[in-house]
Amino acid sequence: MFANKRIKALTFILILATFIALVAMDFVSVIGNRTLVYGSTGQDVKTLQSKLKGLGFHKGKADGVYGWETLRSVKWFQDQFGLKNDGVVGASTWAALNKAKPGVITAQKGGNTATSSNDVAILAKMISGEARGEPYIGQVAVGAVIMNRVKDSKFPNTVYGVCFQPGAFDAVRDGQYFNPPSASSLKAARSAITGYDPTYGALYYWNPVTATSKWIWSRRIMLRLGKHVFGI
Amino acid sequence: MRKILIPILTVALLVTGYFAYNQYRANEDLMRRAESQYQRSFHELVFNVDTINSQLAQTLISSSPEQVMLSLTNLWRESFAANSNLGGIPISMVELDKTDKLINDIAEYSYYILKTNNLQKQKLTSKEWDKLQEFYERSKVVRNELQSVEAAVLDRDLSFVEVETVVMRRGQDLADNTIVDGFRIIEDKVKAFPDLQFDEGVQKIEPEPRPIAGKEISEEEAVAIAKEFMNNHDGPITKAEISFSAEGKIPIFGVRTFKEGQDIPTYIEVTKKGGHVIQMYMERSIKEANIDFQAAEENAQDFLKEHNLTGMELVDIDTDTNTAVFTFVPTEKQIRLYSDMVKTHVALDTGQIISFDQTSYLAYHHERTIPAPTIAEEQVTGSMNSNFEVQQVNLAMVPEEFKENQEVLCYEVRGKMKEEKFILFINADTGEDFRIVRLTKPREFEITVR
Repeated sequence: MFANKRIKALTFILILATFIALVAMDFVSVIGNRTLVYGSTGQDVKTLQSKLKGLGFHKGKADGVYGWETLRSVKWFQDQFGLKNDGVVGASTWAALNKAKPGVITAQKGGNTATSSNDVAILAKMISGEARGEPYIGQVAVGAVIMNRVKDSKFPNTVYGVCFQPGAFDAVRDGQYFNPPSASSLKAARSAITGYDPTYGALYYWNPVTATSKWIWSRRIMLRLGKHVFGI
Repeated sequence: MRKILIPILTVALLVTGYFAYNQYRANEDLMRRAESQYQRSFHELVFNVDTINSQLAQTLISSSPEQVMLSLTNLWRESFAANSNLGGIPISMVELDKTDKLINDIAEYSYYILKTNNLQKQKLTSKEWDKLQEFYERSKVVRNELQSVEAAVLDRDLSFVEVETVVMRRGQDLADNTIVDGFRIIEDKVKAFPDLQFDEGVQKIEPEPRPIAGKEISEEEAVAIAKEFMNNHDGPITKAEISFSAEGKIPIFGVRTFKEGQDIPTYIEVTKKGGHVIQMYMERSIKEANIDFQAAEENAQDFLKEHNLTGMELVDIDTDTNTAVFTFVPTEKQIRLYSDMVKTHVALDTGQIISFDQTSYLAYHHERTIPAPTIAEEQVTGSMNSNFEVQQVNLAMVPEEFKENQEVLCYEVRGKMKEEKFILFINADTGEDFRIVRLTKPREFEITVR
């Protein structure tokens, strides 16, 4: 009887804990001052990862698991901010994380083809989302294709019209577009708007490995850069 | 044991169920929002095409110049809206080249008539009437098909989100594939019409590059040319290799060169014919600006001279963080040749040229026979708009965007209205404004980078 009561109490506590955990998940990210070490998991690890990511220190996923990749990012961050690089995210590291500002670069439109001042920013985000990890010239080429589309009568007449055409770019679909652009993609965007076009007039590019639409192959291929082919 | 498990599992199930339901609701909500955006674009497109068709009909039967002008202006506007709305529905997996072109042709042609035909004095010419008649027939076909699709969308509640998720992403057909098939039919029907031929001056023309002199070079020669170029420009190159080959308007070899101890390549593009270095991009980090624009411009000029580009005049400076792009044009008898521009991108830390582009120069530069202007400079500057303060006047050859390989001799009048800087290009034969270019740079955006 006594044991049964204890079990009942335990059950009750368990249920309560589940609820509290569920509700608390939303709050932990706000408080975010639990000390995190290698092996920690949870919403606050996710917060840590996305903070590091926003600051340019973390390249992996924000999956909420403090693994070796996160450890490396934390140590790098601690190094840069004059903290003890022990990978332990305690009060001082949290404070630094909350204070740190990502590098701010002023984007200014160049050249003659851009039509409005948001062009560089939109283009940079698109290049970053579409061609991260590609050679610089491949990034410029992606920007050049977008600029060529703006000029071409078959596509919308503005940079944002071309970029947000439904289904036109994977980066909008998978959400990569909605991240801060990399520094190199910002440079590439400026180059493309200034008129540099390593593709010499391409209107399409696709990844031969993952391309799904069949008709894309009816395009004349002009060159191959990194993992993309470019065509007209 | 069962006594404990059952309540726990029940609660867990309830919690999961609740979450799942919430997720489902949120997802449905988002889908509906996407769907309504698509529906709006689609219905607007149908409306635009219907308006285009009826405005064309009005133009064809009208004999009053005001009505014709009004209709042409509406046509111009509606076709731009149609283009934009067509870009707003998830149909990019269907090839719509001819349909897009038809809509665009209507916009360009109505603009052309408005620009060239003084409708107050002259009725539509028979040529213009015939062309508009052609447009009318074609747009009717597009309108009819679009309306059939629209009827099906309304009657059977067809979803564009489904088109997007199933047809576009997965490449499968829907059970009711009316939307996609409808657009395929439209393209096929427009394709069945013979291509329309337009007079010169209707459509913007990207001029064909002039043939580049010189012999075909091999890959090895391209690598050697790029290597020598970078050896002179940036110091000893340890490695140079072909990175790509492009068969665009100007066929080129892309070469990558590496400097000792660096793993970031510089890209040099060498024309397959003649072996000219046509573009160069260096990617390097740029420190605080150390030199001013004047010194940077001198560097750029020296760089151009080293590469046999002499007599170049600076026409534009464009700046961003610690770098500046200088645009130069060559001159002939002090007349600036705007088609043949060369761009140099200078890093303001050391003054090094970090990229260079002479595509236009190689494509269009040639010796011209330029007639003397018939209007004197004083005449032009004397009849300026009083709001415009003239600062500098030059003569320039400016490309005619609507005519193949034609240029117009203009007075290039630089000046400002209040804070806004402009270049007015004024036809040196007629005294009319040929083009107005705004020089004031748009406001700066701050963007956070990773």
